[in-house]
Amino acid sequence: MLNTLFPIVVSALTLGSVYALMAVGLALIWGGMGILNLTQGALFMMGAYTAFSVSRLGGNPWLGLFAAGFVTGGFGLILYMGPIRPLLRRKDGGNAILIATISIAAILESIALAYYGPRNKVVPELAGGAFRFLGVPITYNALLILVVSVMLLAALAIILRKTRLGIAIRAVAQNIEGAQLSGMNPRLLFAIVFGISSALAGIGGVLLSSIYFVTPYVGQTYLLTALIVTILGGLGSVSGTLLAAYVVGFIQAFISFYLGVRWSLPVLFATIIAVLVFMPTGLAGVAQTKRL
Amino acid sequence: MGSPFRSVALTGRRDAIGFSLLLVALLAVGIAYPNPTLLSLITIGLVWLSVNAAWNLVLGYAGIFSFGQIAFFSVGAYCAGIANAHLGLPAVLSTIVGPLGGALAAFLIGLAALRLRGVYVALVTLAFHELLRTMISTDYSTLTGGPNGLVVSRYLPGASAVAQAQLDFLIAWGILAITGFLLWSLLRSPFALALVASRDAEHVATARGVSRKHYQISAFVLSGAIAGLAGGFYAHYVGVVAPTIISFALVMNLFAMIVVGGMGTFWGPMLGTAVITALTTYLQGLSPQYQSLIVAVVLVAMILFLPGGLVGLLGSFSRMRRSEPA
Repeated sequence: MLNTLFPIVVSALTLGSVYALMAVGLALIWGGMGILNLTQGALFMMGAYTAFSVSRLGGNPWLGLFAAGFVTGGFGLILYMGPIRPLLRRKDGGNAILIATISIAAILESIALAYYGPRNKVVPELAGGAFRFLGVPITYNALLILVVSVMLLAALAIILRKTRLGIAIRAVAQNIEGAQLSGMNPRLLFAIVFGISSALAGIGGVLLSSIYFVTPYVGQTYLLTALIVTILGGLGSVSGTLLAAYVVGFIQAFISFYLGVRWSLPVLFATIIAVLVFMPTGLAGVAQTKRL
Repeated sequence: MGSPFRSVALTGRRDAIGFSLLLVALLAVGIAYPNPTLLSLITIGLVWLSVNAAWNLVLGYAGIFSFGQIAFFSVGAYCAGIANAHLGLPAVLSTIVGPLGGALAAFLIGLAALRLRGVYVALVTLAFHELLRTMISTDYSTLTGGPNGLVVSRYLPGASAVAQAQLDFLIAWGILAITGFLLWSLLRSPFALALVASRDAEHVATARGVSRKHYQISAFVLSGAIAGLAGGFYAHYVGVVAPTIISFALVMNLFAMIVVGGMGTFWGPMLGTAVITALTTYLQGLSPQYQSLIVAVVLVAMILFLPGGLVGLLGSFSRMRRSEPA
């Protein structure tokens, strides 16, 4: 019993943590700016390929992780400064940004396909080897994925709750005019939020691709999963998103084990259609009043 | 122009005449050049024209952000394929099963999606698209044929390539003619006004007794039926229904056509389909990733610099010439 259950729980926790990294980024941008950033999946892929390139050049896996964070975070800033900012000012900006970000994701995917080719690539593990816990083997890599993502999420939570920067981000999300009147600069804060959430997606890509593979289109599935997590968490609520990420991780791990991998995505999609129809505000339920 | 009020008609007689001229010109080209390569290029363009014109009713006029059009198209293709391959219906009859399947799928998804708004609708329809793709491409029963697809019969099995291409072209032409005139007459009717009113001023429309859901779901089903009809035709035109048609790249391609042409205008999808089809044909020598790269770059550029599309650009030129305020 324990021997079958425990590996599923480990896989659920690792999946859930990485989904949390990606989905928190989506939720931050949705909560702060009211837009949906559909490049998140492509950034996941970009981070994984950055780490792959670093390791091919002979770099250490940890260096790859940091490089991926910097590259995707920097790209997120460029993305915000370039196409997103002018679109935010437009009346139908939400839809325009949806289209723009989905096209930019397609551009990134085409570039990756042209440069790296369609074959599966393996991103090196953060650490090799395994240990036994209660008689069940657990890889150090899975443990490190869990530790790194939980530390990042904790750091994000501390920044959002305790620092002046985090309080300013939450203030802008709650009431942009009020925050501006109190001397905050929403544009700068949006740029920071975009950078942070992009870097989180890139790091998530490195972490998960050390267990699975990376292909140019791998981001699409993760984007959809992250969107499902974000919606389930009640678009924009950070705590709801964290809960939803682990719920989705557990659903996926258990379905893959008991029904087969084939059913894990279909069941999730069917779940999210049902959730959207019957509880459109998601798990948090109070998405409109309390966002962060 | 003399009236201080903007005309409320969404389309006019001039559009119908223009569309008839276009159909006549296409027919003339199709008959004058019996070249299978050219005909199949035009045929596939006509299929996307019909799909886009119908999608535009939902995206542009109703303002519903649905990404399910290719899913409905594929449902139509698979329904026709299954009716032909398993039930043994002749190709002409099984094509009719396509729109029924497309309409039913659109109705069911519409019931769920239209309880929601904006980006949520986009997400439900995208989720449906992905659900359909993963379910069919991992289906190893004989019903859909899984990743290998289903072999369906052509309209003229055993005929010469030219005769086959000509018949395919004529059927696609007929589907476009039906779609175009149907949409044109809808745009002249209170139905389209109600759709546009619910898009632009929902509270006012509701106060005037317009039920948003009723009109939106009707538009959704009609659009899905046309997509299903085009899908049913496409299955018999290609001779195979495989999960590769449920591709996200295709969604992006068609979406780019509508945006480049101009969303929510009668001519936008037509112009955009022509421009993007010409572009991808011109780029044929390049590998697919560069093609989709260029289409995506064009899409971003349009969104940033020309949100009204080519039709909006042409409109502002003609306004400038008449020196009318925009």
